Amino acid sequence: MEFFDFYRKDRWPHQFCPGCGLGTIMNCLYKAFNDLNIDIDKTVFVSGIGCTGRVPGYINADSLHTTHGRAIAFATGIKLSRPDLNVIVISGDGDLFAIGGNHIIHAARRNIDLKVIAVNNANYGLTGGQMAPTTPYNMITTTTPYGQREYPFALAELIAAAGANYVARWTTAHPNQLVKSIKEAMQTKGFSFIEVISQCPVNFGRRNKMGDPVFHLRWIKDHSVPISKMTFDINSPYDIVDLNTKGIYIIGDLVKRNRSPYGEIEKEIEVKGPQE
Amino acid sequence: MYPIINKDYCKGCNLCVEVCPKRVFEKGMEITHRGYYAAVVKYKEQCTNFKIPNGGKPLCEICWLTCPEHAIEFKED
Ligand SMILES: Cc1ncc(C[n+]2csc(CCOP(=O)(O)OP(=O)(O)O)c2C)c(N)n1
Ligand code: SF4
Ligand code: SF4
Ligand SMILES: [Mg+2]
Repeated sequence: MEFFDFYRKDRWPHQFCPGCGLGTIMNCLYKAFNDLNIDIDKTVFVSGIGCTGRVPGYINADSLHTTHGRAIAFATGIKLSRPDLNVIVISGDGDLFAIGGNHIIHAARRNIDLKVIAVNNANYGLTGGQMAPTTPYNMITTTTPYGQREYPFALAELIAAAGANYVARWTTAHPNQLVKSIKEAMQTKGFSFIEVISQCPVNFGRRNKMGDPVFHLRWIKDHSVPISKMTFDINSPYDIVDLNTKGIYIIGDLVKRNRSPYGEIEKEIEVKGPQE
Repeated sequence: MYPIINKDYCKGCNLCVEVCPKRVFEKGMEITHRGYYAAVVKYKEQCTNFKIPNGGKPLCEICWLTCPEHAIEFKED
């Protein structure tokens, strides 16, 4: 599959800002699909609203651009009515974790067989750079002109605690690892979640002295710590209990489980009959 | 083969200049028809894939993976 069999050439160049990390994530998605030889006619891409929400519109496959925050709800419906399809959700941090927060934690708890790529650019990019639940402490956005005074969600840890089968966090500064991770997610049954830390130089970077995409990418790289360095020690500089409050991103595979996905249990009951 | 930048797509973000471990790319000084300072391939012979024939599997493709615009392609002229 060529790049422009996967993406729609007639819609290229895409509308994302110069240096936006979404383009890198799109390359990684294509590479993972190409390496695994997945049939995109058997795949549905679902997104909510946001810059990230526009990614499925460029893919040469069936896609749903749903209402704000409801991507997981629509995806759940597709998966339960057509279990033969691969259902992939690509959406932003604001979409999946602010307005859509409850959908995603319960989808993870129920272990529905969805593959979710959450693009965390630490703000609401599309609407002009407002603060999001993922904006790191003290960072400036249009709605936090004196610096963010709340602490951010640690998305991957939240989903790991909610019970997903596969959880990982990577960044746009680690594209090769991201490709591997997407492949791993595609091959895992059950809820698979990848958080991708991405640069938004135009709306987030510009207000935090990283308007040049290169500076933003360096900032992401400098704030990523591999999971192997984390400890459970409260006094250590890299403390896993502290989650994201120190403004660092733990990168790597967080969880690999083998729980049976939602829907499989129903199938078992149909075969065996109800328990006495 | 070595990277070639497609001026129709490049938006001059210079991420390729940043990520290439062999420093093949350089910031562009000329403005393209789309109004961006497209990056240029300065030292193509330094590219890890220079000796690989056209259509082969590249050893390193970090610039290709990173370029958000899909402006980089591996080719020989
Ligand atoms: C119900 C509703 N509320 C608010 C909005 C306005 N809105 C559009 S996109 C967006 C946030 C997008 O942020 P995120 O999901 O992080 O995507 P990004 O643009 O950062 O990729 C908001 C609040 C909307 N479209 N619909
Ligand atoms: S606003 Fe931010 S997230 Fe949206 S396209 Fe621009 S750089 Fe990317
Ligand atoms: S990464 Fe791509 S868009 Fe950015 S300067 Fe290089 S070739 Fe141009
Ligand atoms: Mg966002």
